[in-house]
Amino acid sequence: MGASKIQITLLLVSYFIYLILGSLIFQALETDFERELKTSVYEMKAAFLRKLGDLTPEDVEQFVENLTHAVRRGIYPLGNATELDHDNWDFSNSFFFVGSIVSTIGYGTLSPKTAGGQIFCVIFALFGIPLNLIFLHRVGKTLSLLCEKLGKCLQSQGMKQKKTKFLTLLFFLVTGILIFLGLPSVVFHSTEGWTYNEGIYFAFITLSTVGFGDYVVGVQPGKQYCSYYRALVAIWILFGLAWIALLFNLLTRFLEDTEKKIAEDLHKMGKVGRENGRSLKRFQCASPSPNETLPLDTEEGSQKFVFETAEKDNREEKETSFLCEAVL
Amino acid sequence: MARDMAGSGLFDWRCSWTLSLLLAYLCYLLLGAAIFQLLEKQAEAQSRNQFQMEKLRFLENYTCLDQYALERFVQVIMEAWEKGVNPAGNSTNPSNWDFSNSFFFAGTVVTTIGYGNLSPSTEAGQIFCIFYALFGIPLNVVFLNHLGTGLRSHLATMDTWGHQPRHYQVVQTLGLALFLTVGTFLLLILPPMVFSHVEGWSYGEGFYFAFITLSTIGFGDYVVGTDPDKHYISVYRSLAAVWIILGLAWLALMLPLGPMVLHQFMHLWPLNKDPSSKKGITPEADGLSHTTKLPIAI
Repeated sequence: MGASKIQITLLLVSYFIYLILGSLIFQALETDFERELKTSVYEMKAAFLRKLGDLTPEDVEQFVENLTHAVRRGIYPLGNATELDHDNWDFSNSFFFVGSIVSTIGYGTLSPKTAGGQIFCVIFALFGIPLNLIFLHRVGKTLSLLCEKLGKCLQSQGMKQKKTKFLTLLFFLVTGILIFLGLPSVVFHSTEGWTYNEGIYFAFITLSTVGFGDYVVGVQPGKQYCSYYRALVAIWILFGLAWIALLFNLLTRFLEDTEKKIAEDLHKMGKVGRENGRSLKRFQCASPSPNETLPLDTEEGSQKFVFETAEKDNREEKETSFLCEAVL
Repeated sequence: MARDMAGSGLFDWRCSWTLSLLLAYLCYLLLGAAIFQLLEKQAEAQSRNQFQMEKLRFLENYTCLDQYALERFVQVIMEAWEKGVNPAGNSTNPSNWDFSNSFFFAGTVVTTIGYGNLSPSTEAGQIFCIFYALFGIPLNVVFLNHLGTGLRSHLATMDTWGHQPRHYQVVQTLGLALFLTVGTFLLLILPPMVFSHVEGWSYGEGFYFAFITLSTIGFGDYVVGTDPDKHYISVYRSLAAVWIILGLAWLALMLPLGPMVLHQFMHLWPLNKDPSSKKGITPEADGLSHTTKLPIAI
């Protein structure tokens, strides 16, 4: 028990050190280039302003093109040159950016423009994404432990097993939706000024790691945010990712078990011959079993939630299948 | 003998399930593309027209502008950009929500890449996007999962490999290594070169794009088929979507196979000629099985 606590703490510490180191390095690589780019864009704007009296349509078209190029490179040329003090790559933004890499959300509102930054980004992601998967795995374990405890509590009060499983699953779904999708939506409504629908849309797109970047927290220039706002959002994202990973895992297993059931039905109907039936049973033990799916979690992030089924740890299997059996 | 018969029957069944899964996956993408197109195209046309009007207005007034008008204009450009409207063109620019581009968008949603250079701006589009992703992402996982495990169990199983004669082992390992190398080249090395050439990026940028895409991070700073100054064939983005799916499937297949092939190489190494090495390839004996999860029938 003590050893696993040390393990968890070590994992947590190394995870955060990795993120902090990454943000410092990105900051070092990107700040200068961004500063130069911003300066040139502001100079272009100033030059345009000077010519305002005697412009031609071609000038305007050119100006629009220059501006478009600037916007594409992430420079939003509002205001004047004093805005240069506000860095896109200050530590807080850099840390958030690094988080968006390892979680594979990848908003894209900030991205490396220098060649060095891009190369470092690739290397950083190569190690950061598996590290994040391992970390989320732990968080997910904690979440399913909570559900299991609830189930045991209900069972000790004499409820039937199937009913407790169903209730636990329901609890998992409802509280998850409320905490990770509903509550943030309300919070964002007051802090960001989005509608409730937009808040839910943002929450879902973020937690499923799609991460369009059309809505991002804490970047609107006109608003005042409390200093720990982004840190709280980061914690929400962390737990929310684990919860949605479990949710997707349930859906995935449901789809896969449909496959198993079809195979079993075919076997029962005798369409598959006796010998094939024997090998089908072998095949079911061998291939679509949960053990098979671990390799996918080393893949660079895309099927991250499949890892939940993959542990050889029996207790782990019990935890996730505990939630699953109520579905089937 | 009986095993081979059983194996072929099982393979047929597996094949037909794979095909139906592939079909379902494609249908899901096509359906999503059509619905997104329906929901978003009109709104995009409206945004575009609005922006054109603003630009015209700016143009008409340019003799009596001031700094505030300029600021306002810059803001208008930024907003247009965020909606996916290209400010530097005119209204004859191809739509971002024609069928090929919508298909590409649907693909980026279910693979969780989510570039973001294009995203639903209507409320109906956003709500549909949530439900589309809710079912599309697990479907994507199941599909890639299935592809990976199916092909792996067909290609090689460690326990039968261990009992084969040596020359067979060598041939099989070399064949597998060749297969992996060629596939990696075709799907991971060659496409970035093609993209850099078509898009005018450096090879480094092309590789960066490919990595960010296949890891599903998907910043959206580099996206194929979005340069307003270039002319692309109409199915360009659909082909890119196909590449993405194949690339992801390849990663799902290759990442666990790679260590296994290495493992086989190590066993074939001349130093390892003692007969006990054949028996040594069992799940308990080599610690590697925990990480490679070989498809061993229990």
